[in-house]
Parts: sequence; structure tokens; C-alpha cells
Amino acid sequence: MIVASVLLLTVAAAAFLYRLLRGPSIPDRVVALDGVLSVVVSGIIVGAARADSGITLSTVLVVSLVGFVGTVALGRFVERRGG
Amino acid sequence: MMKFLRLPSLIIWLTVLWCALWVDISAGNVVGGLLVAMVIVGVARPTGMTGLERTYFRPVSALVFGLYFLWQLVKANLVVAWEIVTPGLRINRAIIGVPMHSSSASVVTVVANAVTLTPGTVTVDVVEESSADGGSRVDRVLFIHVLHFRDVDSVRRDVLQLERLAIQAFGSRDELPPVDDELADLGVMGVGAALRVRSGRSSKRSTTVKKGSAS
Amino acid sequence: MNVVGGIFMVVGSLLTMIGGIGVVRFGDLMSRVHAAAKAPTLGLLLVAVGAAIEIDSQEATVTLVLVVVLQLLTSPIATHVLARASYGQVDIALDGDDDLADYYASLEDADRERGERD
Repeated sequence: MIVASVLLLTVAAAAFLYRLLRGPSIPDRVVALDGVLSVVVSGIIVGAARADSGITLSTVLVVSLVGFVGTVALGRFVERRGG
Repeated sequence: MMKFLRLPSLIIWLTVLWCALWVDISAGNVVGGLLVAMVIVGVARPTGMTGLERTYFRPVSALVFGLYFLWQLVKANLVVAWEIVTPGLRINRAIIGVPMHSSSASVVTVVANAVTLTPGTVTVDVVEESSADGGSRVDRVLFIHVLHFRDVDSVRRDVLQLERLAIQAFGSRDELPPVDDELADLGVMGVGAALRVRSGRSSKRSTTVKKGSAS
Repeated sequence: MNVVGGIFMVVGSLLTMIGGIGVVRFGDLMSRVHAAAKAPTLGLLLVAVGAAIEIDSQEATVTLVLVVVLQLLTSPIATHVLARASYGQVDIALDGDDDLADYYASLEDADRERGERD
């Protein structure tokens, strides 16, 4: 079960990375980064489930919040400097 | 109907978050959380909160709103997943403007966020216009990007359902009648009203206060 | 208990993967925003539910609830900021009406009229 989740998340990360590299404009890449962030958060949670301990879950909060601030900052950047 | 004061509610919410982060509800932790929350609020001075403004929060309606919102999220994902997995795109994209009836910024923000997570819609812009007759009323229009666009009425219906539930949960009840009227024009009953009728309770008819120009 | 939690996690990861495929497959920016805003959010919710079922501790459940609530609150805001910022910059392919362009055009007309009157 865990192996299946990790495989699916890896495919998801690969898909977002493809868009990160290819996306013709900056907002495309920001969208891809947001997706990579969600994959990372899900991955940490799956890892915590595998280790059967909730200790590592504090990192998820930090990643999620920092990612949100980063995405908003990139959005403002696009607004000012163009895509 | 509950009215809360804005600044103390923020402090209480921050304390709850603090206790949740530490997973510890002992008395010492709660006091520590209160202190930290007050320091943060004192230093950060959140905009729009000077201490004694009132904000509305009805827990039961908020729960209904939350459940409806979660259900819409699941439906949205089914729609998007179906679109992605099946070959051939059936998208018909458009940007539609939907005027909001509520004059409270928090309600409009909640609706704008919820619209992003409902099937096929993403909020693109929120435009504010101070009303022309010089009053303090601000009219807001949500511009929504729709993926499968059929007609304007269905988009308005979905957004107004959300607005009705949001006003029920987070706003003053005086603003309900215009929303109900427009929903009736579109041929539906609001979700909250439908639930109330089904449970046998009659809906309260609040007296409408005419605000300035006659509609 | 193990199986139920595992199923939730697999379905959540599957949904995130579908979101990723959508971001690759769609041809224009806003459709990709649709895919990336909705699918990974629900996928994360399901993965969190599965993990909460699997790790049966109170600490983990509270933290996971907090993560989900924060993600549900912040993800639409980030999406909206990005969509609004890129509206004027990137060519957004549309098949139908564009009310926002009409609105901005009407603003420009009003400004022009006011300029001519002065």
C-alpha cells in the first residue's frame, strides 16, 4: 500500500517537474511548483505513516506554510514584472 | 445569532492554534498561548481590527457551509479527474462576472475562496466599486473563470448558493433577502432555506432595510 | 485498520497524480490552474485521513487536522493570487465571453470620457 502511494506520488512529481521545465511562461512554472509542494507534503505524510510515528509531521506544517507564502510572493512578482 | 468581537476572537483563535501545534491542553500551555497571541497581535497590528468591531459566526450554519464546501470539493475533483483521464477535451472556457450582494469583506473573501474549490470555477479577480451615490456601501463583483461553460445562469446559481450559505454563517442576516430574491429568479431555493423547510422550521422573514436608492 | 488507511492514502496519491497529468496535458495556463488547485488539495486531504487512520495516536491526528485546515484555507488564496496576476500578462485562451476584459474596457472608456470632458 505504501509502496503504491509512493510510486503514484513519484509519477505526480515527475509530471509537475515536466511542466516546471517546459512551461512556456512563468505562471505555468509557479503552478507546477505549487503541485510539487503538495506532492512533498503528501510524501512526508506517507513517510510518517510508514514509520508509524507522528513526530515528523511538524515539518509538514512548515513546508505547507512556507510554500504558500512563496507562491503568493511569486504571484506578486508576476504581477509586477510580467510573465 | 451570535455576534463576536473581532480582536478577542482573533486572540482566542491564535491560542487554539498554539495549543493544537503543541498538542497540549494543559493550563500552562493555554496561558502561554494567550501571552504569545497577545504579543503577536500587538506587534503585527492586523489591518481592520481596532478591537471592538463585531463579527458574526453561527456554528451550525458554519458547519453546514463546511460540509457543502467539502462536498463541492469532491465533486470538483471528480469533474476535473474525468476531464483529465478521458481522451478529447470538452472544455469551453469563459470568464463571467457575478455581482455580490453582501457588503462585508469577510463574506466575499470566504465566497471567493470557496468558488475556487467548486466544480469548474476559479476566482480570477474581485473588483470593488464604491457606490455612485456617495454612500459607504461597496459593491463587489467576482470574476470567475469557468472550465465547462454552459450559460451564465448556472454559474450565478452556484455562486449565489455559496454566498447564501456564507451569509448565513458569517454575515448579518439582513443581507439574505436580495440573495434569496435573485435565487428565486433563477428558479432555485437556497440550500440553507431548503434544509430549514425540510426540517419543518419556518424561515424567519427579517425586515429589509431600504439602503439608499430604490432598486 | 491498516487496509482502510492504506486505501485512503493510495486514492489520495492517485488523485495527486491525476492532477499532475492534468497539468501536463492541458494546453493553456488557466486549465492547468484548475487542475493544480483542486486535485492535489483533495489528494492531500485523503492522504492525511489515511495516515491518521494508520497512525493511531492523538498527537498525529491533531497535527494532521491542523495541516488539512491550513491547506484548505491557503491553497485557494495562492491560486487566486496567481490567476489574478497572470490575467493581464499571459494570453489566456478563452472559448467564450470575457467579462473581465469588458469591464476593463468600460473603465478605460469612462476614463477617456472624463479626460475629454476636462
